[in-house]
Amino acid sequence: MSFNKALYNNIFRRSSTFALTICVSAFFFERAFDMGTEAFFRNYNKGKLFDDIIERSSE
Amino acid sequence: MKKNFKIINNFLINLPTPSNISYWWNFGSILGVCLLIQLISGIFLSMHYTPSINNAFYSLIHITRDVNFGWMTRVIHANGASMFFFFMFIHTGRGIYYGSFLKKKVWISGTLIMLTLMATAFLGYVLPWGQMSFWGATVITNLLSAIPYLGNTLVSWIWGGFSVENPTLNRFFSFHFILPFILCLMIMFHLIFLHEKGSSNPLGLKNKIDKISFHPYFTIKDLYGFMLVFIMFLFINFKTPFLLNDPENFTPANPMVTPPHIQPEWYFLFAYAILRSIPNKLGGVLALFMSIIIILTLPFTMNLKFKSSSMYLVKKILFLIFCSTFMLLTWIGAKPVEPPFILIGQILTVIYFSYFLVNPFLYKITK
Amino acid sequence: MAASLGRLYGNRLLKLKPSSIPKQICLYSTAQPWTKGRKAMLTSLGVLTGGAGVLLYALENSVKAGDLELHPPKYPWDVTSGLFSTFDHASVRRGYEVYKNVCAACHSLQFVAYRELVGQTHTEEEAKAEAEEAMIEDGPDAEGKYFKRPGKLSDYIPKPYPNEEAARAANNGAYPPDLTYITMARHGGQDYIFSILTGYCDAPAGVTVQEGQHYNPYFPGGAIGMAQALYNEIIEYSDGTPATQSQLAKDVTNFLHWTGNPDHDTRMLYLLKSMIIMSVLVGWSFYWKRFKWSNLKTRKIFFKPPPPPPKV
Repeated sequence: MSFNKALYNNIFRRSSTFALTICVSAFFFERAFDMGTEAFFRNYNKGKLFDDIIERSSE
Repeated sequence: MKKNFKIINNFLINLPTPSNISYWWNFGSILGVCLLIQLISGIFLSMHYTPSINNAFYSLIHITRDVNFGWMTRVIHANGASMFFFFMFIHTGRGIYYGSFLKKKVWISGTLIMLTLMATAFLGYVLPWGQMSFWGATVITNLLSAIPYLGNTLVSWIWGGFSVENPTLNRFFSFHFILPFILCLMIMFHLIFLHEKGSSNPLGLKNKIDKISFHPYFTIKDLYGFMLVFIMFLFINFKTPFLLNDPENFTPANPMVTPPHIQPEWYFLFAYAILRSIPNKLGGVLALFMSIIIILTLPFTMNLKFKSSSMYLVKKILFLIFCSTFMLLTWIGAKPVEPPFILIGQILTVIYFSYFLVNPFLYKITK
Repeated sequence: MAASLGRLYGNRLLKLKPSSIPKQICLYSTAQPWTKGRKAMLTSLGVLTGGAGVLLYALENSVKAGDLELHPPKYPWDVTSGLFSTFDHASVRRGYEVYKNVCAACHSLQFVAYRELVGQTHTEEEAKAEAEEAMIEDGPDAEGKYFKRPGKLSDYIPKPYPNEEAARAANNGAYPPDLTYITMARHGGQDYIFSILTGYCDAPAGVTVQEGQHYNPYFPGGAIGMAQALYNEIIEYSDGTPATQSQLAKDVTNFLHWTGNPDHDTRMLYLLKSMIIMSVLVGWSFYWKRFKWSNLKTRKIFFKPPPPPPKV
């Protein structure tokens, strides 16, 4: 409960901090989301992607 | 400024809305989103498109291969048109089933919007200048030659020459660009007329007691509708972007080679099937236009006590038959003109129109 | 079955709907005074219509003896094997070798530039080397003359013939189509291209094929101007894959599907991203809608008759 209180008092209460939090977290979220989905995508299509076949041929 | 806020307030926030309208009433706002998607993607496409018969096809290939996110803009615009029609048919069907057509001004403006949208979509389909674009334009503009006395003059006037050629493509691009803005204006009138008396509702009863404000109830309900539409739309765009595209349109237009099966996009197939079911050319063209315009007769032939078809089992059944006829006509439109399909098409055409002809006599059956 | 259903749903079935509106509708129903026969007639009419629709659908999907061409079977392509599947780039790369050594003799690939191979089938150095192998006509130079130079990454893959007339003259009047969008421009797509490439056979009895034409059951009409191009071991793959006919055909079909859809792999990544984001948004907006409507959906409506008029 105290965490929620601190969250509210320090971030949500003022529009300036709220907006700043949104921008900063959007940046980190997008970075993490892109890396996460791309990692899944590379794993899903393992062995078929260009990077994989170039590694294979240079071995 | 204050006045502008008042308009927004009256349209989107405090607008009294019936509490019982179902998800079938979501499609109006979804159509607004469709228009927005088409306007935005269309503006970006027009920045790279070249309306000339020598370059149009190649400019589209340039858009899909070289322009940043061009492939995405293009498939969004192409599939967006299909989505627009899909939801417009549902929206219109909703109006027919629940008796929304009794608001005559809304119904007439809506029918005009549908006709304008069809014109816009037809003009837009010509712009990529593939085989089906060219032959579609040739077949449809040639229909006007069925008009007695004026026909041939009219057709060459529209072509700006003696066949579908460069001036035709140029003017089609101009009209394709300008019509959506006229469409916006018509939609504004559609909404103003609607808000004179407010939305109808599934019961079709006069509902003045139980109205709720548009915001937050319907803003959020509409938002939920948008999200469902977006997820389906994005799935189609990314997974099967050319699902509804005719393979012929990947070949540049060639006036010397006629494709084996000329057919319009799926949303015109029902009208195309009706056109081909009438042996006489002028009769076919008239039936084609009548297939849309006949919905204007609904408010004038309706003489039942209750607005909504859900009150009458007969009307429910008739409406279901009408819907299946519409879908079967769409299927027939994609078939070659061969023995089993000709007769099926003709029967379906009769059933399609008889829905509207039966309407004034329904009071006898429902007694 | 019925007992467990009753246990699961019993309470819900017993529960009264908060709204009395559906009951009121029942009173308005115009079907109430109908005779049993009339109801049965209308029901059977509806069932018949639906049945006719289903029958038509079944006919549409089962009877296909209308024309004399063979429809290609469905093959499991890399791009259709899974929801987010990309091309097998090793296969696309081999397909480029097949195109270069076999197809390029007659067919152009005019919309593909060498730069597009970079990061898809070849590294930058390899793609540059591929481009330099080709002689590209450039010009005019300072003296107004056209000249040939080794290709650069920005050049497009050169055409085998300068124009359509030259192509027709060299091929018995048949025009070898451009291959960039060939899988997109034919009904049946990749399956059709693969079937055409592997489907050559002797004409059946009674079918005569003209001089310079070849019999292929998958081609509309049966007589195709192109001779069989792919045979076992017609080329040697640089990565050592056995070059059987079906391997060659599969690889070149993959390559040609890639030339028509260079954005395909990006699209699949975006599909993954957009589906995740949109499912969250759908769930959130669904919850928000239910949340905001909860007070409206749980309200009770009472009918309060107006007080009777006072007696006079």
